[in-house]
Amino acid sequence: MKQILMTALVPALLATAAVSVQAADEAYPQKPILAIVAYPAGGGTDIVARSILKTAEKYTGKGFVVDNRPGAGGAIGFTALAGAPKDGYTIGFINAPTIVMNPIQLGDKVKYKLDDFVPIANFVSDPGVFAVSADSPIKTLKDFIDMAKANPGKVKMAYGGPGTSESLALRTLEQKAGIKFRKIPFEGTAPQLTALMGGHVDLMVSNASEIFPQVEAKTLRVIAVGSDKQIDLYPGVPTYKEAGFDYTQVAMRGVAAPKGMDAKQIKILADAMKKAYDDPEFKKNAKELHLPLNFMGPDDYSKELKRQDTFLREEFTKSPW
Amino acid sequence: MENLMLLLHGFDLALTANNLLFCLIGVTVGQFVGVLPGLGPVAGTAMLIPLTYALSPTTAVIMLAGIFYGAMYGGTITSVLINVPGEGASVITCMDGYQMAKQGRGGNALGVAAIGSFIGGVIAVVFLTFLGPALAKYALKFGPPEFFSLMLFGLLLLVGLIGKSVIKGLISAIIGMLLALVGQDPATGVDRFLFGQIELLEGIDFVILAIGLFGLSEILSNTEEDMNLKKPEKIAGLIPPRSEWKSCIGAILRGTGIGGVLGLIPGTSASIASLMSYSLEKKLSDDPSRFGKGAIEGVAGPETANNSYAGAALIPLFTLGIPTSPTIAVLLGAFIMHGLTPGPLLYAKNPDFVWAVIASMFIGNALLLIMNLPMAKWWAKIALVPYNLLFPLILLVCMVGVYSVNRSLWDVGMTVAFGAIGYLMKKWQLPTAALILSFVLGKNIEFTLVQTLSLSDNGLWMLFERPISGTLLTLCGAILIFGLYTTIKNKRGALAADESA
Repeated sequence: MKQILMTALVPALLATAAVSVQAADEAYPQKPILAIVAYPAGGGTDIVARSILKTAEKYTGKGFVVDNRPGAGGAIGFTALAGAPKDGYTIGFINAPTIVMNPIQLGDKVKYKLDDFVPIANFVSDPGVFAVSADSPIKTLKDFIDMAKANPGKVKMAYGGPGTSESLALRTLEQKAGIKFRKIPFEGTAPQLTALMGGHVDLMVSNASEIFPQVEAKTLRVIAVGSDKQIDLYPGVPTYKEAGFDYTQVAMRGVAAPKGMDAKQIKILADAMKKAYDDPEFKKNAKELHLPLNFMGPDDYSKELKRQDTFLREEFTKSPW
Repeated sequence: MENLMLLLHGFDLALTANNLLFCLIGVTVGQFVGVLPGLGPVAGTAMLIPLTYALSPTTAVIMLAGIFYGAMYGGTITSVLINVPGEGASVITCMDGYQMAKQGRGGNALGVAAIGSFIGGVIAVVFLTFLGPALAKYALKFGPPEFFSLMLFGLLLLVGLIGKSVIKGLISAIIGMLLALVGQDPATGVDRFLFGQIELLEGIDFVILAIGLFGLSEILSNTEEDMNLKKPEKIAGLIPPRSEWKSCIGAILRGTGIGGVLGLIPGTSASIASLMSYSLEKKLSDDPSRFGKGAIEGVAGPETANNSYAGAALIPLFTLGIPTSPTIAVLLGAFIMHGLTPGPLLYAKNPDFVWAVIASMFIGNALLLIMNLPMAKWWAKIALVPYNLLFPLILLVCMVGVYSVNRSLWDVGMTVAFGAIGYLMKKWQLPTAALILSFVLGKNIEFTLVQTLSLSDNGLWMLFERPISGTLLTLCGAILIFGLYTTIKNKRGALAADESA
């Protein structure tokens, strides 16, 4: 009896094992995929994540479950992604340059390395912007530079505080244009807006999508954007480069897998993400959300992250920003 | 008049069965996230945002706004009954609310808080309707120097409030300030006091500190006492005795004013509103020594102030597109998610939306009042549960609450540590409320000071040159001098009494 059972069971077990191997080969995903978002629900990254995943579901067949793991400026969520199971059922949203900067700036305290991630797709590149209030005499970046030259250390600029990518951009601007201005730190865009609209500062540096309501209402004016090309959100506004400041400042939002995940699975997800990105549903959503879109597949995305890593390490060796 | 017509139209839209239902869901959820320690309105709103995808923008925002102001009602319940403040704005409610509950007057405390919250909430919405847009611009005059002076003012009020010993109060307040230093230095971006823990990079979480210092320490110190003693005999009703009506109404109206004005100013916090209201009530009282021992005005005023703050805080969001608090920032996310752009154009571009949401806030506040009055009676019975059953339950709820916020055991460990610190503080009679409020204010004080110094051409003088800031600092000075004067006078009086004795 025992033997009969064994002879019946063993092939059955083997068969199940074979099926599951085959399944991993053929149909992926088999179940919903967990997507870690390193910022709270309702925040900028979360909004991008939820809207692209909603559309991507059409192409993977199985849903996604968003898992918000906020804390330590994203480092908690990025660390969770780096250490996530590599079975293909956990991915995560990553924010460059933040994800690149953390290990450089914080050293051992950050428990992940850039190499721990395999980029899948980037969706949004939100350029930095310089903005002034609508009635400001500053009309162009050159006006600002001239003004700062004429009054060294007097013009007041609101920014995200030391250590941020804005801080590095401003430092570079000061060096390249040979000017000095006053930098006032703020926690997030909202207090920056309050200060600019209340006339407490002369201009602010932030990201394109974050100040759209005020620009649309014509209380603020954007004088330059930090992307390589002009963006649809602010037609006719020159890039930093066009305005005479040779620098790129972009906040990217994309998705990545923990290193060690199966290459085939990554390919499947990357294809699904590309299709979702091209889907009119997502395009419509993105327009409503004022998202500056910019797609990058695994290779381009990976190259861009490496480029940023090299650049930021060089700058950091010169001196922390 | 035109606004009135628009508002009536808004009621039309808000009173559809669907919107009414989601308004009810919103305020109910709000009430519960307010009650559960750890889960605050920020987490509550954030968690429900994804569920609003399928709803129309108006319905979604009606529901989410309901969570926001509903949580203000809920937060009172834990503060009063188990001495655990749900959020910063309720810390001060613990001082007298919990004492009232211990005396069997928990029902009174919750009743007056619900009525006050309703009055404060509704008046703030009226404000939002008619005066909001005009006032919102003026509120922008508040820059970093003004915030610094306002926070300093708050801190001074705090010192005036705490306990019998000024020295012990100051010790607590300074520990609170020191805890606020953990995280990143706003002036340089350098991280400090992390002890190698990345979890501390954004500083210590208010929720952790509050649950540890208040909830856990209360349980620890109570376990030393005889568990079967000091239960109130019976629970008083909801409506406070007639003798207290007059002082309650005064406290409610003053609380409404304070909350309404501060809510308009982006960057202030509901904690400051409730703190100011409490201290005003104590100053105006015929017998300030009642405060801290179960004075009903000490509940009525602050609880009204934080609700009227919640209503008024929506004004800068609607009119300027600026979120005034973390919860409002989540609400802003919801607006954007639904393709709405908050800000100056909102009234012009989406009038139906704006007025339906405003009308829903009247309805939501009324629903909360209806829900809270009978429910307060049941909640108040918690005070009758034997401690040996109640404490393990509170402990469980607190721990689950803390863990649920970030799903981090680190957070749970920190809460336990603060529970132990709170226990020691109680032993040494160091006031925990002073610690936690100075912690809240301390962060802002440092940040705004750094901002002021980087804006200013002549260092600290900027604080005195600007009219609003200067006025606030003069008030600070007056409080200090008055405080010193009365202390010295009392000392002399006491000495004279000693000598004559």
